[in-house]
Amino acid sequence: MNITIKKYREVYLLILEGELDLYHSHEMEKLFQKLCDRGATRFVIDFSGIRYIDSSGVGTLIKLKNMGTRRGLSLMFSGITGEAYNVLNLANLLDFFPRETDFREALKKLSARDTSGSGKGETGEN
Amino acid sequence: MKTKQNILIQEGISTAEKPMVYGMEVGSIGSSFHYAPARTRLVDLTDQLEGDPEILALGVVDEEGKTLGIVTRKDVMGALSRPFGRDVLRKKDLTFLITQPLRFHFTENIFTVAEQLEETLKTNESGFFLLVDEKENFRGLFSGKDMLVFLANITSQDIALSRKVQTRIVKEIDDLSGPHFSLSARSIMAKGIGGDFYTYKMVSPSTYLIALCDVSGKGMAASLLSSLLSGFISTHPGRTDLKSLIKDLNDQLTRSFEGEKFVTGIFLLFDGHTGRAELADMGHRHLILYRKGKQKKIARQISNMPLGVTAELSIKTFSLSLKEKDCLFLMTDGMIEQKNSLGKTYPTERLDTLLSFHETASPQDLRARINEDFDVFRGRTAQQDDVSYLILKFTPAEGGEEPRIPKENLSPTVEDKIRWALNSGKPIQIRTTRYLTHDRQFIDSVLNRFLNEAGVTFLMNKLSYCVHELATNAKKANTKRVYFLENGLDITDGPSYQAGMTDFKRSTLENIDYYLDRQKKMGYYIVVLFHLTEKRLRLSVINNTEMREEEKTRVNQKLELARKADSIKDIYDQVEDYSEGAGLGIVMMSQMLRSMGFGPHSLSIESAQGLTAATITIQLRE
Repeated sequence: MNITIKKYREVYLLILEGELDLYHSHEMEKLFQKLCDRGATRFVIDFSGIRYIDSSGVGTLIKLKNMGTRRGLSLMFSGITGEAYNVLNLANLLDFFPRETDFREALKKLSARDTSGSGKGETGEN
Repeated sequence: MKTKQNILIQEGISTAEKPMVYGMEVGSIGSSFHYAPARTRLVDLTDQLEGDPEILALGVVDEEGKTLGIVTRKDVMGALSRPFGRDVLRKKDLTFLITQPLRFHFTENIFTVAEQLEETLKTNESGFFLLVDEKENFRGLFSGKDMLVFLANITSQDIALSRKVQTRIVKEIDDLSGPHFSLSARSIMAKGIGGDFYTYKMVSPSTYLIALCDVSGKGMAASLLSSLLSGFISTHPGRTDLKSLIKDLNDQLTRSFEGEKFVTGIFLLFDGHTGRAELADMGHRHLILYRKGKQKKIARQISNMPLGVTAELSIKTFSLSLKEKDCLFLMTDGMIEQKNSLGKTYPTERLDTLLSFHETASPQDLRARINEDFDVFRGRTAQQDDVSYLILKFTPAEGGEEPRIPKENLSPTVEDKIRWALNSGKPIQIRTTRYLTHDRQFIDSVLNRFLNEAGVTFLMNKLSYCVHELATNAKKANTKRVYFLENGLDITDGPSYQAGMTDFKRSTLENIDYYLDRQKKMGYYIVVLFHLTEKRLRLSVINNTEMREEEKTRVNQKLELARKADSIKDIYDQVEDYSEGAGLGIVMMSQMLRSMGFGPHSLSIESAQGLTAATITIQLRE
């Protein structure tokens, strides 16, 4: 699984590609933890490149969401379509994760929380 | 065993040893063990009673310890509080104050005693009763209040048990999705337990039996009956014949209750492909069809008598063809009979508005909105009756679920083998060690062929997910054995297992390719088995390692948890406690199978003789 990290103002955008399964979900968890330790508080996790997700992947998402709630982080998911949509839908979990169809929308929402009226920010590689 | 009574016949108050009681013996509710000989002077007893205000009554015995009766604090104090009472009664003993309440052997069955006291307790719940042994020796006292508290506790435990049984059978909320429909149901009991229930099950490819019923009366009897009937419907062999099912149900009810209990309900046999339904309305009537957001009158709707009223029940069914996006709404009368603080009942117009405004919403979404609206309407007014409803929408899956389309083209040889398996009704198995992406795609292609043959391709997404999840578990189990062998750890030894598990996940995940190679070299494998017969489809994932006892226990706990849980969300809070991570997968699979209309035992996991087999059984026909 590839994870691309981008930063939009204070919001970290994590773009996932590949398989979020038993063998890769821990990478996601470790990265998220690392960013939190560095002081990151806002995240958008984009799923549009996820081709396969299993219960370990689902478990990791729940862990991230619970961690976010405990630490007061802002966390949003985007691009939940295809395989990821199917599994979360089958598990009746779609409503459990705050989500937007497109990561740009999710970024806008999280950025707007304290930068209302400040105009568009730039997205760049971290 | 009876304990030897050790009464010292001395003047004044003594305390008898509490008798040893077993099970439901009346001695278990004894609350006072004080006694005094009849020769005790009243004034002396009074002094002692003043020093111990908790003694409200005590037994009175003769010189041999035989029970004569009781005296109460009230009588003793009453006698002495008369003018000059202390002087007049100075030399009096207890004899003139003795009363003779009912007495019971302390080993007598408590419910038999309760029956005998039924009338007495209606008028005198603060009275006392004697406990004696076979020699009439004093063994204690109990009060009417003690008995009532005991009965209340028993009732409370029974209610809790009934509720437990009922919630296992009738979930508060539940969802089902079929080929071109989805369904959502909710059942909220007014007093913890009640008589509403709904049930559904796939009875043949794409045909579902759905029922929503209301048992007359409330409380435990209704709860027991609803659990019984729900079980009867789901196990009845003639489920594809609506009239035969209802007739048998009616026979059962009339035979058991002789007209004392009746049941109203709507029964449907629904074809998820065509939208056609055969319905039987058993005196229920609360069935509404919404088309394009508006109520549509159901033509030729026939209502029969409720079940359980007469053995000679004539059953007439009617048919209904749902069109795409049609919504069928079934409810029990508790919904429209609910009153708010103004005394007004919940009007169906509110439902019309909701279903019209949210015409395109999924049944799950509608369920949540209806529940919210119902709560807003009733405000602080208590829920007066059980409320159950079921929403069925005939429409392709909501929200963009995409069918999993197999990418792997099967070779002619594989096609031949599949054809042979399908024609002969024999199983076919696919063996692998690594179970990587291309293995998954290959399995999907084979699965798709089997589902196509069985006429249930609409189950592809969920079953594919389940098979892959089971195969991942099997692969992990094999990896675990290799890891333990490589590190010289004994997997069967408790401390060694604990030590190995602390680093197993990290170590193997970081070197998974190495471990997968080792698995292959060491002969560990995974087999996916497909077996289609006329009546069922069996999908098994087998690996050649056996689970440890602790692993078996953990897996069984997860299966049990999944069977009991209302939804996956109920158990998400525990996800971080799943030390080995497999728990959530089992729970998700169980829930998915349930949402397809398959029973709690459609997923089974067995491990013995060096093998572990996880099997999904899809019952296609009776």
